[in-house]
Amino acid sequence: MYNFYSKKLMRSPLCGSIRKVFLVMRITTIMLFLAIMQVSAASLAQKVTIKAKDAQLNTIFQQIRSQTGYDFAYTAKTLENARPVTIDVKNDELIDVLKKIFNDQPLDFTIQDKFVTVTIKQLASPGTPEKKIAPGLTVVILTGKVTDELGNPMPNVNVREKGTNHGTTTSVHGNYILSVTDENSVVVFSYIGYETQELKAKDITDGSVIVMKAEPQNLREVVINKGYYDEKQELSTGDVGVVSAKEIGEQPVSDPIQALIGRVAGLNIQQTSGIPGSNAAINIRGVNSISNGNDPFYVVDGVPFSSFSTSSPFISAGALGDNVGSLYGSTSQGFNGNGTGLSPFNILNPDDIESIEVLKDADATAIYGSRGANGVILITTKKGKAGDTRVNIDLSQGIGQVGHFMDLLNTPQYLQVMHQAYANDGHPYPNIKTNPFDPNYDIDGVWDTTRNTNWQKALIGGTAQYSNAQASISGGTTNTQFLVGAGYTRQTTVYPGDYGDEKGSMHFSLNSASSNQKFHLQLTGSYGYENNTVPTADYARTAATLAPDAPPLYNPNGSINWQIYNSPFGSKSAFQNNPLATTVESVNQVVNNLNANLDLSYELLPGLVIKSDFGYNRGENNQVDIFPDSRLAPPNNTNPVDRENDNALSTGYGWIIEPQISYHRKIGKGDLNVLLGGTLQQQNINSQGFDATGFTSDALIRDPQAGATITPAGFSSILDRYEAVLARIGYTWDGKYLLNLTANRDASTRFGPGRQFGNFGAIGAGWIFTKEKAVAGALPWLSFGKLRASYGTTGNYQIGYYQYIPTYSPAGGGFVFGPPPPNSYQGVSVLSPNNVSNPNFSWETDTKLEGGLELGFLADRINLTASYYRNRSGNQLISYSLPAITGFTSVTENFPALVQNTGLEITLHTVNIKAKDFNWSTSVNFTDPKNKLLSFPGLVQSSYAETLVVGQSLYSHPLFQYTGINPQTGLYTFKTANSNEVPSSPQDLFPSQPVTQKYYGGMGNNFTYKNFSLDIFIQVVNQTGLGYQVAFFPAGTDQFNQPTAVLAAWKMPGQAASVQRYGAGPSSPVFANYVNFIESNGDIANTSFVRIKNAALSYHLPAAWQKWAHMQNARIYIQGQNLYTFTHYIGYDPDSGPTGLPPLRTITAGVSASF
Amino acid sequence: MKTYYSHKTNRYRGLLPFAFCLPAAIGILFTFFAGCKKFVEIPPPTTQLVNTTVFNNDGTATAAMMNIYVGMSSVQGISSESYNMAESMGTYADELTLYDNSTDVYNQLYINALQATSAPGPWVNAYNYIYQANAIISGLQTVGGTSPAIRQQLTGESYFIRAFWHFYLANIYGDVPLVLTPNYTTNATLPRTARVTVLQQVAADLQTANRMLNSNYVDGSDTTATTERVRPNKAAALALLARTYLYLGDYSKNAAYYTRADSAATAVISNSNYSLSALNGVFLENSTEAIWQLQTPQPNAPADTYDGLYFILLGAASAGGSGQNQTTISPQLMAAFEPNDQRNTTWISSFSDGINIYYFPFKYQQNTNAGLEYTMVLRLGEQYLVRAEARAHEGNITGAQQDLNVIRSRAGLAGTTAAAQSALLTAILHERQVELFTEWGARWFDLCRTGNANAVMGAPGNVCKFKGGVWSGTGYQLLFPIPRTDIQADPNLKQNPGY
Repeated sequence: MYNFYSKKLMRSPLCGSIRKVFLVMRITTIMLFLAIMQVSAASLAQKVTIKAKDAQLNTIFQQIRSQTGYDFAYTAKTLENARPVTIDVKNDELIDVLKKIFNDQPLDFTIQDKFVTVTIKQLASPGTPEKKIAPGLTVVILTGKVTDELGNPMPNVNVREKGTNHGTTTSVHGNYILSVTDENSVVVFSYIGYETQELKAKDITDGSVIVMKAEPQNLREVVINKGYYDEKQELSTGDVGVVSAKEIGEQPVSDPIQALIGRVAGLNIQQTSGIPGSNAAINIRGVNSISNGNDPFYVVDGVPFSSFSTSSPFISAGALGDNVGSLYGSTSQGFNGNGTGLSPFNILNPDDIESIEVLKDADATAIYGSRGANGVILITTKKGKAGDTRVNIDLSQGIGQVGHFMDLLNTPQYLQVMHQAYANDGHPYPNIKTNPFDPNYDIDGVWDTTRNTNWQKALIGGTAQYSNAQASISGGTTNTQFLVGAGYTRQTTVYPGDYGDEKGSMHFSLNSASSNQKFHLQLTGSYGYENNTVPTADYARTAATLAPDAPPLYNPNGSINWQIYNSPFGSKSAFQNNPLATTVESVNQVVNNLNANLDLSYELLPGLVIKSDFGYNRGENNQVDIFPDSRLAPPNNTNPVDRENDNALSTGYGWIIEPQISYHRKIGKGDLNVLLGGTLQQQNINSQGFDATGFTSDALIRDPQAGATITPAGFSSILDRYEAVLARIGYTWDGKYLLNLTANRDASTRFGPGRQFGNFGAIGAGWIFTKEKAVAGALPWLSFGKLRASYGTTGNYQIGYYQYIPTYSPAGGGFVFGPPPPNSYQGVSVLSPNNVSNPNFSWETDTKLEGGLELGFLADRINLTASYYRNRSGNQLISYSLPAITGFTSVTENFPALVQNTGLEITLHTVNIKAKDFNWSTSVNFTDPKNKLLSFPGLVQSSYAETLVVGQSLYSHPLFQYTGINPQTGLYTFKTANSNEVPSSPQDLFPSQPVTQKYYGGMGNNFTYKNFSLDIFIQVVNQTGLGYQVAFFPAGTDQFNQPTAVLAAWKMPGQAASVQRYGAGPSSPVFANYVNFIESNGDIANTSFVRIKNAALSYHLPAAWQKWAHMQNARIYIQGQNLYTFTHYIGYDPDSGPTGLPPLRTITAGVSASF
Repeated sequence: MKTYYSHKTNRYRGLLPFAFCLPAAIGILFTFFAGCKKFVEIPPPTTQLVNTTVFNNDGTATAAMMNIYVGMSSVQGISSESYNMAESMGTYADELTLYDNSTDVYNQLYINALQATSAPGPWVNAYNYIYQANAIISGLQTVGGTSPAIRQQLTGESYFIRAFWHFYLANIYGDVPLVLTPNYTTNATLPRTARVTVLQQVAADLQTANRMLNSNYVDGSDTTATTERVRPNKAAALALLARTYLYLGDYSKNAAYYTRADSAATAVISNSNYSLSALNGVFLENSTEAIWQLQTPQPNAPADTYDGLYFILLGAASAGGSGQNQTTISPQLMAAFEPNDQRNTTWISSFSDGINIYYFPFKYQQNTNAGLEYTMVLRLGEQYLVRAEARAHEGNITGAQQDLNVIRSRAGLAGTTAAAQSALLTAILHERQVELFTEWGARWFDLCRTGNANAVMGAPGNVCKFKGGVWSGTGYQLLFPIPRTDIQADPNLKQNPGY
């Protein structure tokens, strides 16, 4: 009966080899786990030492239990006839000991997992199952096991006899024993997030398995993380958007931020490029600050995470965009937000993330004080769960391609446009024979005009490979749980050349509690490594603009084709700009990042807990830009100065300590939660870089020492500190009246003495009106209804460092690209003043108001949340214009300008079909944002006099006003004050319509049919953006292809057209009009789109197969990202702009399973 | 009653820990916080120095002073104040012909059609130098720690720099704000000060500088004498003072200033450290004629001087070419040279593309980093002409003729024939044209202060018309417009009429 192991081994000959592999894996896993965790095997030992004489059987059981952790299940009746036991064993196997004990007892025993069930020997009918309810008993003992739908044992499930206080929780292995009054007692099984089950005792067969079903869509039971405290969604007075591990996991992305696109109302993310590692532009509820940072505050497992790119501020980040603005914060980036350099979040492994919470309103963010104005994004990593040690493996492989190419002119169309352009301007058509100086190789006869190449296919038509491997080991007991995970991701690009992004990461989490549950420890850590190589420029632009008759990229012998031809001046290259030339250049960034956090807490008295968090973060980016001479055509590549190796190192490290005291108590119908805490936070940011030039050979270029000249590119060192005291009082009355008060007083070194401290706070209130009897009676179909409101202030400290002190610095540093200017005189290195300083500036203050309505209909099958918010950001820190007579032209000052963001956010979850085999649910989110500059006293005297207009959106820009094409001349015309059709700045500038989102949202549908699950997510954005013309010169420009849209250009007098006439290059009159056009509202296009952002289909292997293979949760899946975009936009993609590499269409397939 | 009490006690027993712990916790937290007030008092960044640190140390204070000279000799590594002034004033007046009309600002200067939006002239840079000088004066005064000799030297140099740039501002823009402190809150609302008052302050600052400065030239230590004439000394202060008095005489119509100009120039001319060089040796490093030069920018200078780099034509003058090949000497200036004037051959060179001959200034003869020339700021030759003009005003005709002839004879010309005061003044004006061309805009200032600008630029000279512009009779073009951004930012600052 106890032959658990032997049984298992007996089955093995069936399919020996596979099973052996699994067994080896399992053993390896356990060994690995033991090695890593250094966990003593003592607690799991099955060795028993007992010395007893005539002892009661149940006392023996107790001793064994305390030594081995094995539980014993029996009824009092069972032991009635038991004999006293005499035994003396030392370090014997449990099995042997039990055999000895039961040797002459009228009893039998079975062992399953860690459960010893004791029964009366029934030799007569060995085949019949045990009747657990002995007749005449007043107490019925129930034993059994609880698992989830996938068969995983569930610990800590509440098992309770209804109407009594008899209750227990399941063990680590999901087992329980419960004594109930009689066989008609109702037993309730409950666990947060799972459907509660009620069963009659007599219906529970002995040792039967209760399967708990996850509660679908029961969002209100979800406990949400509000940073310093957790709250049930139902009782929350704030506005927090949550993205779950499931939603993240089904998207084949390597940057977790990309997994949030479209998923949360009010969170606006623009993925500006499809290059691996590219940064996104992110804001929550619009732009609050006119000239300072609008980045949300990011926290990973309690440790602040910098939203600044780790790319060097001193050297170029190539195709990822130069990270010039980030050195002293995002000051110079203004409200365009981030979006350049390598994404700082790319170092995080999406598979390590359990959930991402987006804190939006005052109630949720005020506790973050001066860091909370732009919202807070909390990233929580996965934690171990109690249960058997389990190995999870997830492998996937896929491809990425550009999903949408532009319609560009082919060679015949191109030549036709060029001919027309020269004819329009009355210029002779270029001809190399008549003019040997002519540089128009595309049309003068040097290039073969019978060639027609689709450069998009040649340059960005490749297939990016996407590989992902994830493994984790987790498990633990009720008191200690652990998780160790590792991941590897590799992505290549669609470009020619050897570029890509490779990531490796380790993640661990350890939770432990004392047996009385008073002391808790949680240690989490993740380490990430990333190796990112991108070209120095995005080939997508070349692909769109290279003339279609350009020569082949390669010579027949495989070398780069420079199209050398003999001009009267000797040998010249007619294809200097061969795009392949730059494939020898690269920007390589190697990033290392460590994030670690330790939480310790102790419950001093019931409800009173003291706690402290200790966090540490260290990130490092080593960047090397290589420019060898082989990128240049042979006639031009003789100068060793052309070879360049730019080298930079950026490091950031910091720590945070947050001691806290919390108190929780129920007083009558009231439920009080009080929290008091403090924060000390420090961040060091160091950057340095140098440029080496003058290499004698490309072969030596990786060693900067081989360069003749090494010049510093910059050096900076920043110390930033923050401290705060924070408090929260949450009070719930009768589960229906909710009140939440939060406050924060903090200080930051980014402000001068006397201006460092700021006070922030918020009040949130809620009323669950469906808990009022009258409402519940009148509206039975309304299963849930809550009204909530919050009001409070937060601050924005994203202003850069050390701005309040007047400083001098050595001249020559901090210059991006090229050698520093002269910086010494008479041998003395000079010191240059940086600023006139205003020691008195302070926070920008953001006042947030929100009202929300949360409704559940038809037993919560339909859940609707609607929020209206109004954020007013005042005390704007702007760069106030000074007259140059002060020596400088600006000083940082607070200004009573007021920026308002209002909006409506709607979130809808519905369970459309809920049947035995088929489920269909839908989630929709919708955001309608509005931005307005309410007031700006003194605007005229500020540096924003010509860029902002009171009453308009910050997204409006002063632009010329386009008035159509003159049907006689075919040229663009503009509204002008002096009617000569040539607009001039500033008098002819008018505020444009806002260039931003009108509304945006997303819709996700989840279908499950038996073992199949399908998720489809659609992103919808209605917006305006820059049109394609800004990225293209006017049609007719030499060696510059155009979208086919230019074929609609004006051709003859009297014709109405949408594109002005062609012109032969910059000397043509069309050029000036073109320049005015792209500075007018004429090139603001509708860039709205509907995108099938994600689709994920997975198949859970049938339970029988899984059991056979000793797997759980095994599934195979196929996932797709950016599958199709519906848009009228002419460029590649509305998000990445007209000629930027669009986010790739990625399709991956994979398997995942746990053992 | 018993029940009541016990009930109550029970309730409070639960609250007890809270009642005790909450105030305790608040107390602890706030003590912790107050104790940590120091936590947010951080030192300045290691890559930057706070003002007070800069001025309590000889080395760093000197480094702050040197920044002004580096700035003047190399404006952000692309030009120099000397070249900027020579080029913009030269094209604005009648010295240079502009070929590069691709940039609005250059073209506006050339055709005398300036716009306040383009902020022409040295306004922004000049006030930045003045700020730096004021910051040094005030910093050295308020922060102790520097040695007295060095403090005196640096303060003297700062007064000199403040005077130097106010001098140019007053000549280019007329009435200008007089900035005497580094305090931006005071300076941001300054009104304009009358030109004569500004020049009087310039003279006062130069007298202060003259008192404080060393008579030797000093090296990077601020105290040790050197042969490098690259920092202002007493003679430099006197030379600029002489020029300032001469200009003051013209603008204030107060003849007493000519006497002072005479004596200040005499103090320089009689100083045995200075003597006229041969024409081809004037602009060499530390020439005997040099009173103050600016060192070649270090490191990475593209040439000895930016004047040499940009004025010397290596091809036909044309549009574009990153500052090079964009100007030639104007026909008016070419015509001003008397026959056999050696300056015409030594200080002017030409480039021929086979079709046209392009003449260009060749005072600076190096267009590479040859280590031979420094940028000249003040030189003895000018002092003779200053004294000649002052003497002519004073009625000392013979003295004036003598000084004028010193300059003429070096150029290989016979003595002047002008004998009457007005004829002599005309002769001196002419001599200045051919002696001081393309040096810091001297020609334009001469035309303005002597009242000859309208006649040269407008009828009958018609230089403006020749350049393609329109010369207004109102004379508004005699002053540059104040940059519009400053008019917007300073409510008390009024624009020059006509702009």
